[in-house]
Amino acid sequence: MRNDEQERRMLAAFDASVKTLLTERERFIKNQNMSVVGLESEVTLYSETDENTAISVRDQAVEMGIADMELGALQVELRTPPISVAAGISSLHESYKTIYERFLALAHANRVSALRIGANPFLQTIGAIRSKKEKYARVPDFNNHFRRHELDTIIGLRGNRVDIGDATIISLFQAFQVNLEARSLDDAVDLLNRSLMISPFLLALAGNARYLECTDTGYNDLRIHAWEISHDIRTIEDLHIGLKGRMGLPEKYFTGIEDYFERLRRFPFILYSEDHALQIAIGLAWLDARIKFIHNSAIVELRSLPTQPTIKEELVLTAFYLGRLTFSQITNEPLLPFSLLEENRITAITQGLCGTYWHESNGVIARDSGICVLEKEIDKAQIGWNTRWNTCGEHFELLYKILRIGSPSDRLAQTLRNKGKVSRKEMLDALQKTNMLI
Amino acid sequence: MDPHERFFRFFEQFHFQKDMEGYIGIEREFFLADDQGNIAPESPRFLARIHDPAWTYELSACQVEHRTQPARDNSEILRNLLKGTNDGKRTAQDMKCLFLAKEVAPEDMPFITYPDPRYEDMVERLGIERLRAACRVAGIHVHIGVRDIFHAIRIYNALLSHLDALIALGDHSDGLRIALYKIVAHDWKPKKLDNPADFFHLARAHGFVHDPRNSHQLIRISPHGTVECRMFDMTEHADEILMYVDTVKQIARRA
Repeated sequence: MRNDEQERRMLAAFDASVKTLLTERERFIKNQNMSVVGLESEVTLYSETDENTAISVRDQAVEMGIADMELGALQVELRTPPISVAAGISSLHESYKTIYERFLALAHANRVSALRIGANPFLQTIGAIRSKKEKYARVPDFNNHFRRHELDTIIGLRGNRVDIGDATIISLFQAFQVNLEARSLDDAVDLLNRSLMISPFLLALAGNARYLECTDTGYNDLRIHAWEISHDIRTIEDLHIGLKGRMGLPEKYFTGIEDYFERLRRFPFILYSEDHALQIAIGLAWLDARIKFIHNSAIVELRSLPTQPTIKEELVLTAFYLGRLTFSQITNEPLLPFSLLEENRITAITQGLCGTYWHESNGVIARDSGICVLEKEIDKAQIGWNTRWNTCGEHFELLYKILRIGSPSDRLAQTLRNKGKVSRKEMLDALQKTNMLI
Repeated sequence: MDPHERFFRFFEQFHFQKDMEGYIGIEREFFLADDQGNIAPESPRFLARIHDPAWTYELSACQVEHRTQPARDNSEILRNLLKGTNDGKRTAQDMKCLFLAKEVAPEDMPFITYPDPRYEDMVERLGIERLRAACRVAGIHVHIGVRDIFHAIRIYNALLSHLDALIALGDHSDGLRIALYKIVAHDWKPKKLDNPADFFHLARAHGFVHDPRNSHQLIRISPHGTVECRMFDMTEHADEILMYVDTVKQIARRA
């Protein structure tokens, strides 16, 4: 299961790659600020009658270069190329729309639908079918093997509860990720820390993973929490000294790029390919946000958000993220104390807009209702957006609307009349009504 | 009072609730210190300032206790723990004090008790050595809800069979906290119970028949309708507390 000799070799290869990267840090310096953005969004293929057709659509989409394969056999990932947003997000919108429409046309031509939700409510949480790739066999098996045996893997805030004690559960989850090119390695760390701080506010608005096995867990978004539990391989000694796992939040904000690499090297590689040691370590760093390296770019990836019912919602969340980050950087906003961020994060996961959040307003840190805090956060994002892009960003209206109508999770629960357990038919109808099944 | 009545009166003090079975409540004891880090009797000021029923006093005026709302789901327990810690930290900060998650305070800490009449007798009864030991220790108490006395006894006995392992799991102080606890509570060692009558006899022998709060066993059946584990040292790490909770849940599930 774990090969210590190979782990040692991987660590040596990782250290060598990091050393080289740090001596070449100038190659990551860019002139422009937050100009290049790429989106990734995972969607599940859904066929009422024929799973094989759905899998064949997945294979065709991969072959046509519109999509990539994911852990779940019915999942695909759509991605835009890196696109300059110097003039706003319209070009990003165009690119994403084109890719999405091509994918949707292919699916519909085969009578397959697209499920745009953070957690697939139909599949069994234990023993989901995986795509056939070595990494999809080794990584979940490793985590299942080393998970602490006493861990409570049953979740649910309301009456009904669901077992998530299988690392393959992540094949039920779909994420929407924003990739942002940093100006330098230092800028990447700064953006990473600010992304971690902002992420709970985004998640409160965007929660879209509430149901598993047609059961209402009561969570606003259980996705990243279920990931943390099902992949918790920390030892008792780790817990005694307050170490976190490789997913979610780190123990503290990062103090520099070296600190980021130092954390990455703490975890087992599981997959062994010395030429790719750095990429493997980053690939398995399932933090709410992370830094990755592609050619001469240091990229900050926001990973905490679930796939949204529409691409319009994903784009408006992207604008919120970029605007809020800009506000944070141009005002040199102090980072919220880490313990308050931790509380905000678990509140966003469990309670969404109904929770209370810590935030900073006029130099004072206070805890207020979700709606009140989110209004202020959207205002800040709008200021950031207007300053950087010099447009008034009419898309922010949709965010204020979400404050009134609720996150996608809230809307789905309302459509299902807050029933604890629903039939497959009820779920299908509700998903169609809420634009999550297309 | 006839023996039967005494027996029933004793059990009336326990508030078992079927629908709270498996719910977890956590009590944590924090020390307060001045801005130089010296443990200080600041609990009256802290409690007046925080003004929240989740917080209460302890025997030592240098300590405060936080209690979470009962919850089943770990995410909810975690949120309650983080909320409590953040509220406590910020209140202490406003008072220019430090808020410490520490299992054992130094020997030279002030031995001042909280001004509560219940403690006047206790101070008298404990004597100076036990009082000092009682003031120096801070722990985490994990409560698990049980449906009735029979269920409580089953879980109590199951936890009892893991007592040494549970003590080791929560030990951060090389056994110092538990050693001090044993000085304070002569009845620290839980004993196997066969039935409710056994529990009643234990209560009479240990002097908690009129007030079950006076039982200080490391595992006890509490009047809240829970079985309470009191062996875990205080820690600042919420995930570690969840590990204690998971262990207790797992033992209870198998009981």
